[in-house]
Amino acid sequence: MPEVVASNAERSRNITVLAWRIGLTVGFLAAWQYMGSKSDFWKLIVSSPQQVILKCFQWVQDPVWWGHVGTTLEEAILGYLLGVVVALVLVAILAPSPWISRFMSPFLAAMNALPKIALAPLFIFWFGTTLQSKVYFVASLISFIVLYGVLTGIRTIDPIMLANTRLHGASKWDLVLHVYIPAIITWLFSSLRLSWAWALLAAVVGEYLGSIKGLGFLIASAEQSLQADIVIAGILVVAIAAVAFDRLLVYVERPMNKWRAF
Amino acid sequence: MARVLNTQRLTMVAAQVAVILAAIAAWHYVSRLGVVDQAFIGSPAGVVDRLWSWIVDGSLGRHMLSTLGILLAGFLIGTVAGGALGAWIGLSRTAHDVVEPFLIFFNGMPRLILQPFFIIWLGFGVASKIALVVAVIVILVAVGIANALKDIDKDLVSNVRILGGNRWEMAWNVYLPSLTLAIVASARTNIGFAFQAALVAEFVGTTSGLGYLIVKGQNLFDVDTIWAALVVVVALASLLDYLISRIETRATRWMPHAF
Repeated sequence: MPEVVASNAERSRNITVLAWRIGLTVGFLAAWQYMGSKSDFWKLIVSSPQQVILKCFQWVQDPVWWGHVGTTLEEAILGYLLGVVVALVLVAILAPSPWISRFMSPFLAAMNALPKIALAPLFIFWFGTTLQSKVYFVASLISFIVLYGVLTGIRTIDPIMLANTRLHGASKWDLVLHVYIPAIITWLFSSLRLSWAWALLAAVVGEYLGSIKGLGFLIASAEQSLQADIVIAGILVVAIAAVAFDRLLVYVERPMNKWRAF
Repeated sequence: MARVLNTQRLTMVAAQVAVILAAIAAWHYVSRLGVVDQAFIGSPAGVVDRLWSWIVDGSLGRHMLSTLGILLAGFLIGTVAGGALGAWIGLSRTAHDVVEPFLIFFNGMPRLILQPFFIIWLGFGVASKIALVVAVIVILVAVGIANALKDIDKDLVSNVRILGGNRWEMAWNVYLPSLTLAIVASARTNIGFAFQAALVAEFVGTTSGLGYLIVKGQNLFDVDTIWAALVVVVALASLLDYLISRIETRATRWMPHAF
């Protein structure tokens, strides 16, 4: 009987929560719509939800827009893959030797301190407004995020566990398979997840600074001609692409983490 | 034993310095002999030259102050707003459940791309730049604070209540310390994100700041300017990181075991 009461209370709480969520969303959209309709000036700078949604519908039917999306995704995905490969090669070089990793640690710390988004103009300077400049820029960011994540994972390995495993007669290969890889995999996954948003962001920022294609270019040119609806819709599309992929990775990651007792 | 360790450490530092010097020397000769076009990779002398001219005409200080001002203003506003939001989410389960999907969205999206929107909305002035830093920081702080409040020891809370602690004493002695700890602990990563945001904010529509200098180098096809600006950025970032880590050790010194 108490269970029924509890579930009733729980249900009414869930309804409250849902009502609040819907209320907040609707309130926000209504306030935005009102602001946008107040005067021509406000319409110019904040647009309105109606216009933004309309823009999105126009885009979905527009092959030119899909071309922009394709360019951005191509840059982000190619850069992402290249970055991950470079990171794993670097891990294979750095991780096995304690001397090399100690040697590299101040350099890695300096690179970590560098706000890497600041490198975008350098890559555009080097490779122009081409696809390559964004791919290399994305790769440079991703490789560092993944490298740093995996090295952190290796550092969290308990030395006592390592010694114990060795004492029980584990070969080098056994250590890699049963100690290192399990320790790395969570960190690898979380850095892979983190990297995707960065890959998209880097591609868009690169396009924003110097490009003739892609969502970043679309946003930049709309910004110059003060088309708020395109700017907002463009940002929204990038945000949705980032969040959707992130959620997908969470979904994939969950069963892989089940075995972890801590 | 200590002696052995010291010599080992010295060898390491010597090797690191040697590699840096060798890299600079190689850079110098490669650009000087034209193995790679100097316009493409720049030269150490050119970078020093830029830095020196910025110091002499005083523009270095101006650009650094501009970036730091945006960074710190945004960081402070973001931390206060994020702290308030986080406290609300952390203390009320309903608030947490209501806000969660919005938080997941804003946490998952790359918030730096909001910059064009802020420019259209708030113009090219300081306001849009600070707004970008705030937007980047506020969610991170809120999530950190909310988690910290959720992790507060329930036994501690009940004990203080049993001992007669009223609301204020509770807030002051239980919640505030863990809130402060959470803010300080996350400040180090957050200031890094704030720095990125400040630089991106200065990429367009301004003539001051380190972000502007980098883009100026790109537009003028002057790679030495880019390098010199990046050198300043790394130095400033490292300095900020060092200062915050000092504050962090200060703030956690009273704890029985540092984590």
